[in-house]
Amino acid sequence: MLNVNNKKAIRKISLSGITTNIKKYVILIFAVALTSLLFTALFTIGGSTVKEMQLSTMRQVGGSSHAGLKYLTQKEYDMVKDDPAIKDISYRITVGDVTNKELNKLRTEVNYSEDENAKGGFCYPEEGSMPKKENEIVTSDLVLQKLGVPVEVGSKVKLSINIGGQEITDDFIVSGYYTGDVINASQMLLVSKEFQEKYAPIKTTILPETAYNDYVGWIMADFNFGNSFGLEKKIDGLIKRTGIREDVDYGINWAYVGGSFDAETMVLVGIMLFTIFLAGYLIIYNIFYINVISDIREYGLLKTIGTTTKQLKKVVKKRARIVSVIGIPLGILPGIFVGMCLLPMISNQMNSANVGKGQVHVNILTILVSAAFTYATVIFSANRPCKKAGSVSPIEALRTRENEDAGRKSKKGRVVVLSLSLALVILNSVFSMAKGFSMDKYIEQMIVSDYSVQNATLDNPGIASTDKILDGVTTDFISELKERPEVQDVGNVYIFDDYHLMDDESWKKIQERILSNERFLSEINEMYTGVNGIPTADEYLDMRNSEKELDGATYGISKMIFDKLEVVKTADGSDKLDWDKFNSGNYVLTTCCKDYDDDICIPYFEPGEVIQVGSRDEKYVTYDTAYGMSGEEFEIPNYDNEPTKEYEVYAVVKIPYAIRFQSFGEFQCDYILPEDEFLNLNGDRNPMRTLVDVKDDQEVEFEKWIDNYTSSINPDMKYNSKNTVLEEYKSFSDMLKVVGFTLSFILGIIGLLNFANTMISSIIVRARELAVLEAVGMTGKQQKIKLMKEGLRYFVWTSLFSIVVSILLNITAIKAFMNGMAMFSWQFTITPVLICLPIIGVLVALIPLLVYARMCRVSVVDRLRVE
Amino acid sequence: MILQAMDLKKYYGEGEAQVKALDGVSLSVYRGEFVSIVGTSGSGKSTLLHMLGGLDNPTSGRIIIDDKDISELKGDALCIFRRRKIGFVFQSFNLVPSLKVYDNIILPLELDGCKVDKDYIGSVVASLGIAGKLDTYPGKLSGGQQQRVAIARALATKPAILLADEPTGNLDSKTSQDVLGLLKTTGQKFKQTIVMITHDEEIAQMADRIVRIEDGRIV
Repeated sequence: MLNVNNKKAIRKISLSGITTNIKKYVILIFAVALTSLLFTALFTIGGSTVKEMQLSTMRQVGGSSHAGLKYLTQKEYDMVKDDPAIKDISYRITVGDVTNKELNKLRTEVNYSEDENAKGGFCYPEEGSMPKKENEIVTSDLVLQKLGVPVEVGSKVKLSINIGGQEITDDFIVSGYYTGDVINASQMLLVSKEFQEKYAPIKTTILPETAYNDYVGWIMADFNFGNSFGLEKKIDGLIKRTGIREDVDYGINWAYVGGSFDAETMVLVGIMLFTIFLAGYLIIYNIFYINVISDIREYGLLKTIGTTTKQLKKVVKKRARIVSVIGIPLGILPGIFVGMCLLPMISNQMNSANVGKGQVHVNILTILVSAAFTYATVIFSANRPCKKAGSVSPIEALRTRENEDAGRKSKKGRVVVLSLSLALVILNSVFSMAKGFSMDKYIEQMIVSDYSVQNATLDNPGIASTDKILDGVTTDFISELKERPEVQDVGNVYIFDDYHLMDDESWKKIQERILSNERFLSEINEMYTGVNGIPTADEYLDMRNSEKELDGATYGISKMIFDKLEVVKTADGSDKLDWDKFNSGNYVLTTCCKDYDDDICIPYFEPGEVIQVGSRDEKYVTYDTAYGMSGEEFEIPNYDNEPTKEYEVYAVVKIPYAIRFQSFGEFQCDYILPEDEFLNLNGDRNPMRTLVDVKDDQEVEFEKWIDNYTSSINPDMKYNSKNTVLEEYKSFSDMLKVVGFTLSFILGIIGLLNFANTMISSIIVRARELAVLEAVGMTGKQQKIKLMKEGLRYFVWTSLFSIVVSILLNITAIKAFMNGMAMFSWQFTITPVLICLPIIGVLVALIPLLVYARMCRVSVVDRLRVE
Repeated sequence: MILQAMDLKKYYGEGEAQVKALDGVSLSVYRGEFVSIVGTSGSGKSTLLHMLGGLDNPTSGRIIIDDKDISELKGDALCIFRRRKIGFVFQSFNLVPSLKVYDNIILPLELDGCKVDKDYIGSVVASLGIAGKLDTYPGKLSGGQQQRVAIARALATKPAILLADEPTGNLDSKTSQDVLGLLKTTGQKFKQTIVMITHDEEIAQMADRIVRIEDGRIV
């Protein structure tokens, strides 16, 4: 077959078609630019968020290196440092930690660090220089602030440093400081080489041969490989290759381990992508189709003079490409701008670092991906118009143009109706979520009283649950609180969180109700797979049955807390509980299995049953020896010998999130006793939390007092107030609204543009028909009414369609989504659609009038003459 | 006298580039008369017809139709006058493709909100020989049939005057003769005044009177 080079001809035809009909293509270019804007905004936000999360994880971990080897001697370090797989390596040497009282809530490690290591660990001084003299240090502004020292180079500071159990106290000079990040698990305090060599010389004995790890004088090496793929394998290879001991401690930076997005986010991003694609498709397809139809004579003509179907398709494709080349770049800059405006709001909602928050990370990849998505949308949209142009028959094209138009009306209508409805449906969905984001429900979950006071470690997600202090409300605080005139009501929550040993009878019930429950079993089967040292499900169940233990807490509560519990089940079916009966000392409240997970509640025990509650009194406790990961010994308490007391189950309840201990065991079988009975059974103990309600007009004074108390008098304690939670709520719901409404607004513009374009082309195509009507006596008014009616037909269909789809979506997907999330309470809404429809109605009536007025600038006679 | 045009002038442009499409045309047409206006392309005959039909405004001069000075009418008022007093037949038929034949014919009546005189329409349709086509779309008809529908539409409102603009321009000679014969006989039957423009001498001969126009003037 001959290869005819007709590229030039095709390009010429494609270009001339656009330049002679520039107006028609301006709308198309605008539509492509809008689509590109939406994609760019989405990818800018998405890309920046991923980057931010990665950066935040790095900051949390305290390093940007791919991986690290821990607790090395100099000899071991030398073994690995020259390995060819390692791109760069640097180290720090552990010295100890700061024990100044002011830093109780801000763990601060003391290290000597190489410059490169400090840079990778985000602790290289931004002001000043690395420490050189023995008394020089570098640390974060946060540490200096806590210590009450001016944040400047040259400040003097008195530090107590714990070095392997030995404490030294001395004066130091700040030689430099960096911007600290609260999210980081620990702050760094860098000392000079001189100091390190004097107090923490590098270890010469390898870790397995030392009696115990005092965390002093170890080399901590951080390094990067060529790339961040398959880090685990690379590290394994490194260990084998260099011959370093097999049990060396290593860490992989999870910032580089994928899966930083959960399924929900992925679905959300998918929905957004699809929505933008659909909106783009609807408008680009429609405009393209209309353009092809109105150019159908041209295509027919081209065909009569011998242009093949394939070539005609090429012409249309080429036009699509030209439009993309102009439209896509036009949308990218505004898209980045929109993304920039929205990003701070979105990133404020994430638990990420507070350094560099809301910063836009635009890279070439973002732009390329956005452009690619837009281009794909354009090409996909041009597909059918392409076929249409190719399939045109020359005679038909020259003869019937008006008939064609008449037959196509319904199809065109569908696209316009879909496009307009899309914006409305999205708007309605966003609105119902923003509206359903229930302040009360959110606050009910987060805080059930004006104030909640507890140890600072308790609700800090960055601290391991075993390190949390569960009896942190001091007696001093409680007695001072009693003196406060502003206080209206006080309630205490006491806790022992470990496990419950069951008697045979109770265990039988657990076996029946929980261990043989299908939902539970399927979960167990998933978790206990029998690989990698994990027991199989059967082994696990056997273990449970031999131990007859379930994890769970024993709570002690005051009447105020008692009144806030959610009653699930009582013996007499009522949902009211009597404090005096409960407080008699014979009753216990129990909870449901995994009640924090979802709404399904499987009670461990039924009201009226009798259970044994074990005492946790220190008098009876024994200790078992256990071994940690690095072989270190530690003791765990054993309560098996403690006396038990018999209680009747009064009711099954749920404990609100704000009251309970916010970390959960596998079962979390909780028993709840009245405060006095709890203390009787277990001996004296301080509360985990104290909740305070304050008289309405005295919150300001109380807040002042408690703020001062938790910062100056007892900095170990921390308080949450309803106000802080309110602010959190507001910023979240603001984000939801701004992002949602921006999206709806742009989609709305696309929809209206689509409608306007359809109307314009329909009027232009029929300019002659309208002139004929005018010639036979249809007045301007009658013509305008006719056109408005046509517009209104779209409006009626859009109204019907958007209302029906909004309702359906609202009562299915959105309801399900919102009911699945604690802070939402679903409410039916269709108001946004009903509010927007009249506005759209007016525009839909107005646009044809404007187009008609424009058309009338050409006289009837001239329009009649156009053939 | 049903139509009287007095000293009609239509100028386009200014100065050197000025084009005098009509340059002082005066014309009278009597009730029931069939007049054809003949001229070459560019002679101004179409412009004259557009003026007479109120589709275009003259630069100066007056047009009186059925004792009404239409030069004084503007916009919608002119449009309403047109649909009540004037029937148009165009060279390219100009039927509304989305309406069936019958609906096309009664369109001017419906636009006026008039009751349809079914007997009258029936006899018009019958004499034009399109009674069997009322339920089809214009796209399915031949050129001659379409033009007959256009004539029926022009007659539907019983206008004071029927203006035909090259009614046979798109038809072959056999069909042209047929259509024009029908136009003439129907005009006589319903006592219609007809003004037709054409460049075809043979067709023009069928009229009662021939008016020639050249360079915007009657000769």
